[in-house]
Amino acid sequence: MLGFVVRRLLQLVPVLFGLSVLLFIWVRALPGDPARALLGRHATPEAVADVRARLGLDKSLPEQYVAHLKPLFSGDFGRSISDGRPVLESFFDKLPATLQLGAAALLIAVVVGIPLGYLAARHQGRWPDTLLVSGSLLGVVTPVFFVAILLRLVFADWLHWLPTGGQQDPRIDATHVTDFYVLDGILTREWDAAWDAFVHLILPAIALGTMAMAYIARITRASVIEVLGEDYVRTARSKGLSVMTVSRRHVLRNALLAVVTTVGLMAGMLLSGAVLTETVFNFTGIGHYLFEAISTRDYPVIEGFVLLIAVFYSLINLAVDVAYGVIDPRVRLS
Amino acid sequence: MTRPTEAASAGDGPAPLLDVDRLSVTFSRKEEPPVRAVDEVSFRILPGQHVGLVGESGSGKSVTSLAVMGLLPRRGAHVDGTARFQGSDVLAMSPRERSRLSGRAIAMVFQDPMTSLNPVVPIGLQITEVIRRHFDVSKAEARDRAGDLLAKVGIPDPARRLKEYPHQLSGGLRQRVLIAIALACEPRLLIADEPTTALDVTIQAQVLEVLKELVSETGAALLMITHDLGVVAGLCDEVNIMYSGRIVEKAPLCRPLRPAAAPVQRRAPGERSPTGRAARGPAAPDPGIAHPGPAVDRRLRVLTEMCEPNRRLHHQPAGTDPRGPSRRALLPSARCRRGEPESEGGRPVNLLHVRNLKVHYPVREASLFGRRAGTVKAVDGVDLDIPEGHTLGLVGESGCGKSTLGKAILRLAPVTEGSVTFDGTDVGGLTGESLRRMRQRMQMVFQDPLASLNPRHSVARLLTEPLRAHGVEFDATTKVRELLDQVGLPTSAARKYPYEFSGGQRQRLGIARALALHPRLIVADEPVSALDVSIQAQILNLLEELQREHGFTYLVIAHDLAVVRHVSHEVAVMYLGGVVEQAESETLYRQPRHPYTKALMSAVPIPDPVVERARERIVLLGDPPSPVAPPSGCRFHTRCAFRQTTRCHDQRPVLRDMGDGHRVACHWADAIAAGTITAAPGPATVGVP
Repeated sequence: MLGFVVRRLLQLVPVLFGLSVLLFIWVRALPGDPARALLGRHATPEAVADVRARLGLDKSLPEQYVAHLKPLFSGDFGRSISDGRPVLESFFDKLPATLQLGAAALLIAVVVGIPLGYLAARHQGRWPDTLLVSGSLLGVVTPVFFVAILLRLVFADWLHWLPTGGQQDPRIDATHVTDFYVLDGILTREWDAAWDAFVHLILPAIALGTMAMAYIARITRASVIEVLGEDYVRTARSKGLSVMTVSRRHVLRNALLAVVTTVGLMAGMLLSGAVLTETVFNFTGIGHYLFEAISTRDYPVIEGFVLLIAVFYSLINLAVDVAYGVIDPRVRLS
Repeated sequence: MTRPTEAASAGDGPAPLLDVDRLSVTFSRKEEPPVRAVDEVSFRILPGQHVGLVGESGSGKSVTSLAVMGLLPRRGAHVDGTARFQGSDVLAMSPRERSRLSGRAIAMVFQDPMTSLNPVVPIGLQITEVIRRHFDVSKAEARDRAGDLLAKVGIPDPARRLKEYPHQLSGGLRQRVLIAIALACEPRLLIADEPTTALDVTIQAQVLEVLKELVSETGAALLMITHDLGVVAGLCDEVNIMYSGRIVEKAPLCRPLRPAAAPVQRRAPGERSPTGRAARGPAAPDPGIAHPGPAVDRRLRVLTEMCEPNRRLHHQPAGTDPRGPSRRALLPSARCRRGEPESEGGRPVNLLHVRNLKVHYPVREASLFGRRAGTVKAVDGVDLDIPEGHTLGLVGESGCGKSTLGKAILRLAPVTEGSVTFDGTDVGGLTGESLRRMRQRMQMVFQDPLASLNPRHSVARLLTEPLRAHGVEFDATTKVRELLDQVGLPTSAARKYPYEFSGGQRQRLGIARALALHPRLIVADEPVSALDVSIQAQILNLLEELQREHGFTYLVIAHDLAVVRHVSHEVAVMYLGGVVEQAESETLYRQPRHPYTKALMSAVPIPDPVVERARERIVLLGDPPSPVAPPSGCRFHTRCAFRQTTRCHDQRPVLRDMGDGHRVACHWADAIAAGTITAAPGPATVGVP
């Protein structure tokens, strides 16, 4: 197991290297110019050239590439062009908000998606199933930003049930311990702060979790239908076990193995979805920050954040694989 | 709760435990005509009685048992009739009432041990859950009971096994676990649905032994569902033969199971009897035996075909066969009529020449950097010669390396050591174009005809694909017609797709594809094991006919001794990567010399209750050892009843000619033949009086 983890981490090195090369090229292929973005539309060509020289953008691409590697290896991933802060620091600053959002979205997806999928499978071919199959298809194909804007429009702008954006009402003077706002409120027993952070989380989490929920429901459905036809489920029924025991121990335990694997893939979906959701709800996480960086052509931030997100994504998938090895006794990690 | 109609005929005997009366099961699907899988089936089981329900696949025997257990899908299956268990109709029960009965009073053992246990739940829990469901006992008590059960079904070290998962157990052990689960609550009725069909023959013998012992110990009644009359012969008091959804024959088993001496009408080639349809004539007045008239013919046919293969295996003294003529005598394709190309000045010309062939696979360790942990010695030093136009049968249990050997000969598996010479050319040295050219001359027929035919390709395309692949010029229409004609399929088949054919017809297609390139050697890997017994004979006959016509050389690989005997000139028996005995077919079956061959043949049950119950059987202990760490010396010594001290353990025996080309790899073959060494009266041999 340890060997498996070590090997997987080593495999990450060439992947990240390749990604950094691609990112370097891709970011510079974007139309626009960081110096122009920094100085505004009315800057003189001299000022722009001056800033370009200061940022090293006047050099040839190979030279720029070498220059760009240095901060990567020094460990701070360079500094932002627009706010001058070290990229790594900003990343870890913004990470808790995104993790909190992602976890909430995943929680909704799992808690709602699995029972829905199970229900549909048990009623295969009848109306609950038809409803879920078509409904989840809608959930899968609807873009995240569309769901986000729609939710915000209806529940925040029109009905005023929930806040339109942000992580917490700025008027609340909350103490921050972990930077997970809801958790902070609970830890410090500032219940108002916790509640307010929670309320701010609802719409973004639903917006982000919808697609994942639809996926999970569909995969659960397919997987349960398959398991229901397995011989061992028939064996379990022949024992006269209660419907509850058969479902839980024999059907779900096997069906969920397939769901676990997709949670890793879901992480990628959630991270990319977070960029859009955070932007719509003005939620100051890594997605929001990355979005800003892309608009200002903040090369070091874009490169650094995407790389770090990739590392993060790989770690989540590694964790899923390890979890799979623990849950399924047949899998020996090697 | 007695029924007036049948109460009288039940006589004065005890009340039946299970009384199935006019049970019918109809499957209906949207836009398809309903299929009546079980058609007014009636039978009874008395307390403690052992009843067999025998039929081929599709005869409705399994559906009958699933209906009684209430395990048919709720939608799509319509069940009629009654099944009274201890007086109350289980078919009319609510799911809740029935669940109190299932696993407690009626329990079931299923066919496939590999898929019938939950892979992610430890074995212990799979046993204790049924105990705790029906009895009010603590976890610890249930666990103790589960341990006792495992010990009873012959699983060593039960305490450890309880914590293990199904994948850590072999097929034989898993089937024992399923038996333990079924017997956990000491049911009054045990339904066993093909409990040994998925197992190797020596393991089947073990499991049947366990089943027999435990059923008689607990006094449970047994409903044994099988396609193998031999299994029923040793176990049951009464047998019901099912055909096409009906019971066509009922017989108490006090007399041999044998069809009357009537000429047997064979089914047309490639044809399979249709399964029962809903549209049927009115029911016969006596629900016991349906359609007495035409059924006679049918049951004769069924019974004959089902009895035949295993019966032929067993040697009869002095050439008199009290159980009727063998199939060979009935068939036009008996081997004696075959061309005799072998003698060329008395010495056969070998087309295939295999020397010291070894196929070893590395096993990697599941740890840091995956060190090489060992070697699977799948094939470990095999010599074979097949003369042109001959058939060599290669027989052995799963995992003995027979399929790997077949593949290695065709260069489809990597050869570690040794040589394969085909028609004077060393196949091992060929690469690229020369290997491709060689492959035209060596073709393969696969086990599963459906899985090995691309479902999206028409028959015409499937059959001509090898020609296109090898760049052979051909006229598609003529070629396809010629190939279909050779395997006895109509020309109209060319435009169809594989799913439109029955199992036997698909295997004909598989053979036609192998023929397309005019090969000289055909390796057939389990060519008939996916087929019903009655279809098997047709395919084997086809192979023989083609050999007579074209002079093909065959290597037929099978686990079924009867199949191999049917087609082979010579037979080689494999055990753990090596050939232990090889001889001319008749000689080998008449007089097996190697203890393993003896055990293998002895393990096949005979469809004759008198013979089956009287004969002494050799039941091998345990599972075959792993080919990663084969035993030292003679590979078979760990399970051998004739084992002698030191030599068997220390020295690996080589194949020695014992005269007439009968070669045996046993140190003591002569002494065993002479009777100076007898089977140890240890636990390895179980004599059944």
